[in-house]
Amino acid sequence: MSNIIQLPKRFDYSAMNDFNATINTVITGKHKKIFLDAMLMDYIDSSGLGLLVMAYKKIHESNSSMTIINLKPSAREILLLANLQKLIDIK
Amino acid sequence: MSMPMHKMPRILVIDDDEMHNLLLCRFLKSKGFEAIPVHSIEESKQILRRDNNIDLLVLDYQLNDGVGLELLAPDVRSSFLSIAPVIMMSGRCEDDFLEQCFVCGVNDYLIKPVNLSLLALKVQSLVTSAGMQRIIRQQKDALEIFKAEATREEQIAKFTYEYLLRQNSYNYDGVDVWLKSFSAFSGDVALVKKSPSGNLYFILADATGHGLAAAITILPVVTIFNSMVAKGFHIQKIVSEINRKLVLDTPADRFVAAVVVEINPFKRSLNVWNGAMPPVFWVHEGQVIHQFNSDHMALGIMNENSFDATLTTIDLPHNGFLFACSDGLSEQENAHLEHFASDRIIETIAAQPANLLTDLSHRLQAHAGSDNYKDDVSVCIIQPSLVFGDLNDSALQKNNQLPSIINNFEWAVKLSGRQLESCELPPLCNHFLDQLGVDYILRKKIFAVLAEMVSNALDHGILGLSSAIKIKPNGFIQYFYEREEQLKKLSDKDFIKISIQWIPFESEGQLVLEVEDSGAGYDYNNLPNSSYGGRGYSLIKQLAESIEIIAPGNKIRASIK
Repeated sequence: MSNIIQLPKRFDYSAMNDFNATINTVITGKHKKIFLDAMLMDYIDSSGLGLLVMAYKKIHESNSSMTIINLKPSAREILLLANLQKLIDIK
Repeated sequence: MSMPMHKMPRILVIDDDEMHNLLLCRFLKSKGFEAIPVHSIEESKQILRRDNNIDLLVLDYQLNDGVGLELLAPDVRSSFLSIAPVIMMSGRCEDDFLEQCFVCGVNDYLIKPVNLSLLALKVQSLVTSAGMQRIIRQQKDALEIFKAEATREEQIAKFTYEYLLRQNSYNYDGVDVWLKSFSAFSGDVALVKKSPSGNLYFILADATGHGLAAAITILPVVTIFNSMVAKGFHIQKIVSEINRKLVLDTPADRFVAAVVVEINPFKRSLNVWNGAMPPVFWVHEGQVIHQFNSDHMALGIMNENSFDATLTTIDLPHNGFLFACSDGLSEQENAHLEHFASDRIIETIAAQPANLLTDLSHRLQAHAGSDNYKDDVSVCIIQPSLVFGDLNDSALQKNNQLPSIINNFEWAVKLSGRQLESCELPPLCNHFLDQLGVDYILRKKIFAVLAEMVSNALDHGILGLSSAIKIKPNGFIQYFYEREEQLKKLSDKDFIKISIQWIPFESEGQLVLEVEDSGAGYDYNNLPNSSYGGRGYSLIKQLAESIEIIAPGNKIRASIK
């Protein structure tokens, strides 16, 4: 099972069910590191930020680490504005 | 409310030719339908008026007592309990005849002599589509009920929410707020409240999302802010507690961005905590003199141990105002998908309009092209010089009348060790005085003096911190960190004693406050007088009748009239 999760183009409330299901599945694979690939992500709002925080907490509790990679500049700016880098590893 | 799928479709076969009718019925029965033979228009009307479970009519055009189309006349059909589709049978096949039948509402047509397998197919098709229409009707009814219930719940929630907000108004001179809610509930809230000591506290909060879900997340923020300010707690304790509650009591994907501000008019300090909100500006004559950026994550994410309550502190300028807004303002897009952004906000401020809030709302509407914004919009302006206007006359004067307290009283408390860190002494004392019925203005004075005395006793007397640190750049942060370090080293040998006594003096009386700490004291004959509050006596001097420092310098007595 892969430890890389693709974030969708539009990461908001509508992405919740699929994203949470994927996170839950990947966690069972007991990977040491889990990557969230933001290559396709054009849009993220506060619901999306909430999903990231929730995912981080779940992954952290299962003794794995979470890193977000390939962020587009506009998306990166949003994460930094929310100071999410203080909690979540962003490459 | 499920659709009975196994129910056998019931078909009325309306034909006055008994043999033909029997043949059709037998055939339909063999195909799994329930077929009821009817031989006249009149009999059909009677059955259809009392039976609400007929699924289909197979109807002959010409009957003894009339034409089959009669059953389709609107005034006749409206008296039936069953709404059933119709297959018409006739020997005629001319186009205009067929047209007339369909115009009258016939669903399908069979030319006599009837092809039985074709009949079966047409019956099945109509029964299925009628079944689906019934499901749609049932679902529509269920939806109406659901909508009505949801509206009722929303009204109750809205009532509770508004009641709570009304307890916490922001009706102070010098405070102006513009709130435009996206829907019935705003996920933004703006509150302003003065503490017993006369400090002004302000919070502008923005919960994730909007609508009812966001508003519910906001409620604990409102109640905690109000109760803690009323009890005299300081800003760092307040943000920490709000964060703690949100982490515990709300779902992990919900949080609250917030700006919290504490203005101390006596110490002339302005403290800001900004978590994930747009920058807060201090403006003077159209210029942004200071910008407080978001240094922290929103409230409700970090657990208690990792939460960062670090503040940004500046001296409170004598002129100007504080400007804060939610991202509903800065992120509102125009037709070209450009955000309103800080630039336009600063531009609007620089123009120094007579009414900044009105001006901003007009500019935003022009930018967005309508006044339906995509998020809750909140903008607040605070002018401390107006908020604290009353301080120029009453509270800082020494000639307040003490109430006629006839009975002596003495109140004393001693706290040691780590309790000094966690327990706030001035609020305790304030609560006691409140219970005695001491009036608000006097309590404010006592609180301010006591807070200063206790702060000196703890920071300088016991922890040994020097105010000289504060003068350096980044001094406040350094001071804060060193204070945290020293607090961890507190032992039972470290204590602070407070006492309040009412002492009758001739025909009047006075309140005597005394604070003693376990420190070594200091050379109190040389009092530094810096504005960063060496041992901040300037405040106490302003408010108290007299001050006495008792050797070796770890005990201070102030009397208030």
